[in-house]
Amino acid sequence: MIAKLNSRILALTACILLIAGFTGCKDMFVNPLVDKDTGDDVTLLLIDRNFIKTKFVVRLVDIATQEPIDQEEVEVRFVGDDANNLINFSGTKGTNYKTSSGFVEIGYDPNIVLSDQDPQVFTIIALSANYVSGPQVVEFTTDGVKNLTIRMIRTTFGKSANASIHGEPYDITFAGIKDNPNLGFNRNISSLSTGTAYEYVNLYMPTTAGNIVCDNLTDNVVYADFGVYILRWGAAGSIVPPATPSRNSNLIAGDFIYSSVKRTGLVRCNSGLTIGVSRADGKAGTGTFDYKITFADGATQTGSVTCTFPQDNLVEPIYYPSTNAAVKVEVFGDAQYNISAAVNLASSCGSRADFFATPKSNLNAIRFIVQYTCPNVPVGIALSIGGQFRKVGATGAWTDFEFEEGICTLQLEPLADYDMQVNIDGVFYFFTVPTDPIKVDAFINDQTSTEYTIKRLLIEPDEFGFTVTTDIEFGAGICDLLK
Amino acid sequence: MRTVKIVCLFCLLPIIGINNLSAQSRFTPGIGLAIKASTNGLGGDVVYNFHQKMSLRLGYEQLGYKTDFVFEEQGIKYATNLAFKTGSISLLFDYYLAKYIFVTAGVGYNLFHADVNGTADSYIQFGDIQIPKEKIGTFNIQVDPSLKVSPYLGVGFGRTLGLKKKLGFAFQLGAIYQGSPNLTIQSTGLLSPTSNPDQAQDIKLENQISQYSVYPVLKLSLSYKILSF
Repeated sequence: MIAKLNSRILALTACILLIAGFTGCKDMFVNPLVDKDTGDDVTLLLIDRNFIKTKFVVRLVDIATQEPIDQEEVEVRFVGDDANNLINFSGTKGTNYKTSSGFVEIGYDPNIVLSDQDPQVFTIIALSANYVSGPQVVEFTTDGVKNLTIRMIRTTFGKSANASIHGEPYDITFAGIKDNPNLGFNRNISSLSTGTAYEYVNLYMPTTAGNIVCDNLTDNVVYADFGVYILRWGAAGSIVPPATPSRNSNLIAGDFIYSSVKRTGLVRCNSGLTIGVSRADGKAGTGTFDYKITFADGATQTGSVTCTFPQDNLVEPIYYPSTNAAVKVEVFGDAQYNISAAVNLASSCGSRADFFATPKSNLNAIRFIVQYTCPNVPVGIALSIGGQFRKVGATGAWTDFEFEEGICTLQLEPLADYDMQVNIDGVFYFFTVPTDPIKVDAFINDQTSTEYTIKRLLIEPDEFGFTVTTDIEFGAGICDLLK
Repeated sequence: MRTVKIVCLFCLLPIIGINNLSAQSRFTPGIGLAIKASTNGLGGDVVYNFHQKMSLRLGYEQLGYKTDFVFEEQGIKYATNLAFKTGSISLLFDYYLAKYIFVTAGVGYNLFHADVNGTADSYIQFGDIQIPKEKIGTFNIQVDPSLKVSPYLGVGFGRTLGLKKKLGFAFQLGAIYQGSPNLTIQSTGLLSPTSNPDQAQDIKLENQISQYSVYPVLKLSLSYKILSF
């Protein structure tokens, strides 16, 4: 009797377990490729769309005010054989780009193998209705983000029309007349870089056609060469770096004339100078920092480097005085970081200067993990793109940063709102992000953008400080760009 | 639903009184060997039938399957290889509710493992340029049970070792509880974010397959008694 009872209990138990098991099995027929939470197609593989490993971030600023030129359309041209390898964010080759945001970001064909034996060289020129840049040579042998600040000059004449008083160590004769007032003086542009051993002196704009002659160099000990560069927009006849400047050319009205000199005793260093920036505590972070290299003869070379710590940035090429190769290298902090003191090097060639970034006080480290998707496409995108942020209500300069594979760590104030903009194909896409977790729901519900939808946003404390995880679904317009 | 009804019916049979195992002649314990084929693999058991209603089985089974295929995602073709292995080293206890109906419970060391390797097999046309497949990279996704030592429960029909005859035959229906599958992802090249811990893609995909915690088992076994005591 007991045995029979045990058998029945066992049988009942087995029966219940099996029924429970089979009932639980019904979920096995749920399609795992459909997201359980959203019902969207699930993302299987995340692709870094950062095909472009060498990027040029070109910022167009007014030489006088340093403000971005974002109130008018600027055409940026890239000149030279290697410029044919430039591509936009969609992979389309091109050498002319137009922007009204004061910002152009382009890439270099990733199939071109970069080597220090074969430097890639091109010249950047920018022109708008009211501004012109000094043509600037860009030369590089390594990949990475190259920050180029193009300082543009207003194309309105200055008060003086007498060329001889503007500092060239040689005579400039136009249409047979020395210091001809028809060769309109614009301004001193010695702060602009040619990107070569030559230095700009002044910008002129002839109002009539005529022949220009440069001669009578006053100091052939200090200067090795001289002449003028000519920018003739829309027609043949330009002479721009890295070509040798001309001492005798025919000009037409509307040309831009850049007087220039080359000092003696300059040595070209192909191996460049490495600026390394890292966090002293080894933590993550990103920022864009201005640098200044001061040579022994007082000449300077400036620029900026974009870093995702730790990062080395090669400044190349370097032209230093043969009599003294020593340099002082300075890197300047931004809204996020203070940077360690200047570094003095015995030689600028092949050396490295290391700097440490320290977060400014009262800022919290916030790590952003952003994954982008396109509607009905089962692939996530982890973009490596540049961006800028600024606290809501602030009017100062934006702070640059860079996503690397969709991740970046920024130093931001807690419980604040930040305006952010990321740049896709030369266009800034703007949004506001709170660092206050309480505001997240409102942020999600109040979306109005037609260009993207934030599908998920989490703000969680962790060992980094806070981590903001965001899934953004782009609209069709941006997705078309990414295809 | 129909399956559930059939299972219930089989379970209820002994309760409604067909269990008349007692009338048999004197039982002789024995040891035998069995070969088996199941959804969990091919293998064999050593069966020790130590009581008229009870037996122990120590067994091994394994099934492997490999296939190559190409799948395409967002215009990129991936040459993919799936290597799938299942099986277990198990120790099971059978309890006979009736002469030819038994329940089985036990544990096994779960050998389940799936390995998916993919290599980009086409370039990406990116505007005017092509991104070669070598730069797109590779991925490897491995699936393992979270419970390597997995419990098993099932019902069977027949005998895992013949009661009087040398030969025995059994059909079993059961399930291995192996827990939610764990994913391990490795990737290279442009696919690197897939395995970046910060992107937590493995956790997202694990959530998508968490329902596969039970591995269903259908098993046929044929045994031969080699020793009787």
